[in-house]
Amino acid sequence: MPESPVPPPDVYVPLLLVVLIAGGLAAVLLSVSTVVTKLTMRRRLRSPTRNTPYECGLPILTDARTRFSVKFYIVAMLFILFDIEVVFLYPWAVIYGRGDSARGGLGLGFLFLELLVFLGILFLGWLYVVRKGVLEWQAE
Amino acid sequence: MDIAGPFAPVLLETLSACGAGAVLLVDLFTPEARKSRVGAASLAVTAILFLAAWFGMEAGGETATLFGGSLVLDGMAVFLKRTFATAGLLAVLAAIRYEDRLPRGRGEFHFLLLSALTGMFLVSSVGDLMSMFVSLELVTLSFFILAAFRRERPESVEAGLKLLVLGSLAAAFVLFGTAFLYGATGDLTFAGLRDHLASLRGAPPSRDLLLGLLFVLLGLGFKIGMVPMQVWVPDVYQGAPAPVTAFLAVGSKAAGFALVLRLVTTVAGPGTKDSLQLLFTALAFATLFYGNLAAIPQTNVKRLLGYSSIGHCGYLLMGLAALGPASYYDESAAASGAAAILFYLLAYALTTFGAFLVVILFSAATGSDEMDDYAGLSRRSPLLAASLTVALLSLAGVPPLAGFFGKFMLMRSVALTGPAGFGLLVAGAVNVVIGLYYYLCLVKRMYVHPPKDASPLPVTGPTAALLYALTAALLILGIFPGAFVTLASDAARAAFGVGG
Amino acid sequence: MIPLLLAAGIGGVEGDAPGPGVLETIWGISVVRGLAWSLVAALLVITPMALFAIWLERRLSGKMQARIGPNRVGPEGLLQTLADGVKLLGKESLVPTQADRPLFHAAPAVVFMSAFAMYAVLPWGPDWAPTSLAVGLLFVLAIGSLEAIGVIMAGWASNNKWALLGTMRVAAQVVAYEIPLGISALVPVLTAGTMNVQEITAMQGGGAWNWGLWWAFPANLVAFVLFFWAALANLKRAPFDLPEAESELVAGFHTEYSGMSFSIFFLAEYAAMFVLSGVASCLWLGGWNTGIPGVDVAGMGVWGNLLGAAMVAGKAMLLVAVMMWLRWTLPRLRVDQVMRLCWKFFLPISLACLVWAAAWVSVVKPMLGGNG
Repeated sequence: MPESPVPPPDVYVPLLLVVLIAGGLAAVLLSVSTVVTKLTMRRRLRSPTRNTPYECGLPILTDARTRFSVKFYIVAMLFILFDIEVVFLYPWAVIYGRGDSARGGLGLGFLFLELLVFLGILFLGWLYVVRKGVLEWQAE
Repeated sequence: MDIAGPFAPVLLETLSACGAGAVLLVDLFTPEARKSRVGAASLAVTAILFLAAWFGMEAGGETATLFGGSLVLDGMAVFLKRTFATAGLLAVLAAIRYEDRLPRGRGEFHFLLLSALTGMFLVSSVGDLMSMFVSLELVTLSFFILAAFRRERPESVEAGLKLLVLGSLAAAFVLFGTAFLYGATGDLTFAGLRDHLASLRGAPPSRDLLLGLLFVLLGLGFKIGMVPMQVWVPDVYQGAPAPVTAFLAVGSKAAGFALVLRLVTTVAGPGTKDSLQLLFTALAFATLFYGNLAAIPQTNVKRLLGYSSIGHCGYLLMGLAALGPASYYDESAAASGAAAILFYLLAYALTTFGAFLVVILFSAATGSDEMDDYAGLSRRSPLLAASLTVALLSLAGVPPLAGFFGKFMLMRSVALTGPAGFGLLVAGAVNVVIGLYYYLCLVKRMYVHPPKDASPLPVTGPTAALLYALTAALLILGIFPGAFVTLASDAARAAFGVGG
Repeated sequence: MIPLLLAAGIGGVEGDAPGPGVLETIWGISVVRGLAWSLVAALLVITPMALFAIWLERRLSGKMQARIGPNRVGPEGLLQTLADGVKLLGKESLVPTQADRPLFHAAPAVVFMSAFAMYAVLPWGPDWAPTSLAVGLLFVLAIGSLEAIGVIMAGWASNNKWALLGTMRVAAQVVAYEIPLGISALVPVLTAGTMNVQEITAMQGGGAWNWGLWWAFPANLVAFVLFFWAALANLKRAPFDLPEAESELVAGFHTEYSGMSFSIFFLAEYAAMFVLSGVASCLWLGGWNTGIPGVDVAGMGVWGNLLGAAMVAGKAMLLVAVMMWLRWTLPRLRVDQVMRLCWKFFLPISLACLVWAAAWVSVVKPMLGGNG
């Protein structure tokens, strides 16, 4: 099936509209709720503790935005690395089955070997992460 | 290389990438007590690469390209790969003598050395601007981490951070330039750039193209320590672990010059040679005087070698200034400049490692890099003192050492360009004298001053053998340069398209 | 009325290729289609599905715990959720002091938007798909991962310790499970050779043995299971519900949310559950195909499309019901267990599936001859 390099707008315009309307719908629901609340509530309770963050009824002692274990950040780094690999794999997977004709002569077996090379590098990185104990959250 | 088939141009790169992975695997599955295996594995990998580069590759073979011209294997690439393989082997040999001082991460240290080496192999055969950027970044990123490897020492972290921040800036320059070049020519390959310039038939190229070239050259100037981009050199050289400094001095400079040479051989032509020659003459002047004058007051050996490395960048730039003015334009002069650069890089690699090996051994024994502590070294360890002296004299360019012949070739290529090169020749000669002064200051300390601490510094058998071998290599390269000069000239002539 | 609207608004995506000079017409059609689809989706699909799913959850929970569950409002308590929604509409949305107000208000909208937008590529019938996006699956994963950003916004803006703790867990968990989710969705893409969800579904016609589940056996079967579990983790559902573990973190990232903004989170969660199940059913369970040989919805016009929509909805709802069943079957995991499960098991297994699927396409399939 020949594909034009530039997709027609009738594919992407509805997509954009769906996204916009989705956001808009949420905004409308929230605004309606605000208005309804304003109209129906007779008296606003005012007390210093009413709007404090919930902390099981105890007075707030420290700011919530404190430092977190570095493990979380390592997971974020791993995500970026591995997710980029996955994104690389997507276009590759789509053309994989057509590799025979596209790659005149090299053939699917060659493409498969290429996959193994790519995943081999990925696997080495994965092995490194595992052996270095990055995933052992209980170690401390 | 029939086994590699169409992938012969990346044989060395593949081997070194696989080797890096293998070293990492060895590290992962070796218990803490037997970590010396990692160094042994790394040594084995670089030894194989060294042999493959010097004996497994044909220097005069056909020019082969791969991946649509992204990678090119020609004579110049082979010569550079041999230089890099030598430097890699020496770096690992030096690292093995250093790694006891690494708090942790020996495997990563060797892995990063090998990944930098892989990047250097790629750099030597890039054929387009994109692969140039990627392979250059592979080198640079590895060095960012390597420079900061001793993170318990503030100097080391400072070195890594400076390299990171300024290196990113340089990378941005290269990318900007790439964008401009692409915009001006509509092609990313060097061949396309050459065709575009040829199609101009001597008319001056567009301003975008010149701007792009200037940006890329500035970005590459960072790697080689060229004057407007040289500020990082002394701090990083002083702060980084000594084997890294040696490898950085050789690898980064040679990688940068490999790319500058590629670019210059591509764009040098009737339309551009005037501005290129003027540019490189000015840069060589500034870099020579900056590096050598600033080296004089130094008290730290690594810092001294850092400034001297800027000076050496100046000498190497002289080879680029040998492109010649319009009336004298002579491709053989240009080719002899390129040949001189290639030979000089090889000699510089051996010399730098000779010097840094002594620095590593000395600081391992005494914990100091200060020049004053080198006082009386000849009495404490005659071998160390003699090796360092030979290396320093070679850096200074004293016959019959390798450095002398390299400088001789550079000066000759400038002389070939006629009267226009006269000023640069004088500047080069003056700087040789300045260099001799500060190198001899260190030699004087080692041989004339009395030692503060007279305890002898023993050198073990294999290390002594390595020092002897390096010293011998410097002498051989200086006394019998013929074979290597031929290799370098052939490589350069092929790159300039001048018949052998 | 409904099929008419659907047919007018969203039908026949493949048919109208843009001719020269009719850009305005196409623009008009696509605007109409986008608007129509959005409204149809909002009013007829997502909201009822989410309301139904919430009711189902409560009823199923009740059954599993040997109690009754909501049964007063409407037949079998079906209108209970609606009543709750109306009640929540009138509840005040509190904003804690020191909260980051713009972020706090934007977070539910972002979460809702990402859950909603995933529906844009879910095909309902052979002719009924909001868009026939060539990169449909990539779009689902990309827009779906925006949800994590909304959740992180919510937790950060609340300035509440429990919310922020939950947020960090969400970030780590969603981000980690994104990878096996992406790789396992890659397996049908590899075997089918396209990322277009509609095209993948169309390849699964005929009997149930033609469903994606059995392609490149057993790669797709395993990939389906992995996708389901990774989706469970991405949706923060039990046994991966530690980001909102009520016994330790109050309610996780939405601790500080009340009133309508809370119910938008709630609605979005169920909408996302349903759409991810729908995508899984289109990739592996035949989507709008009935699975009965001879009953081909593609040739049956509007009624076929309606039947197809019922098939998609039924299959997806079945998977949603399994998610609810798991909630009352499995205990909650610890953070380190969640991470270990993902990186040490899901990731390598999904990669192995990919390798096997690739081997199947390039080695086994040619040997079997034809489409195997």
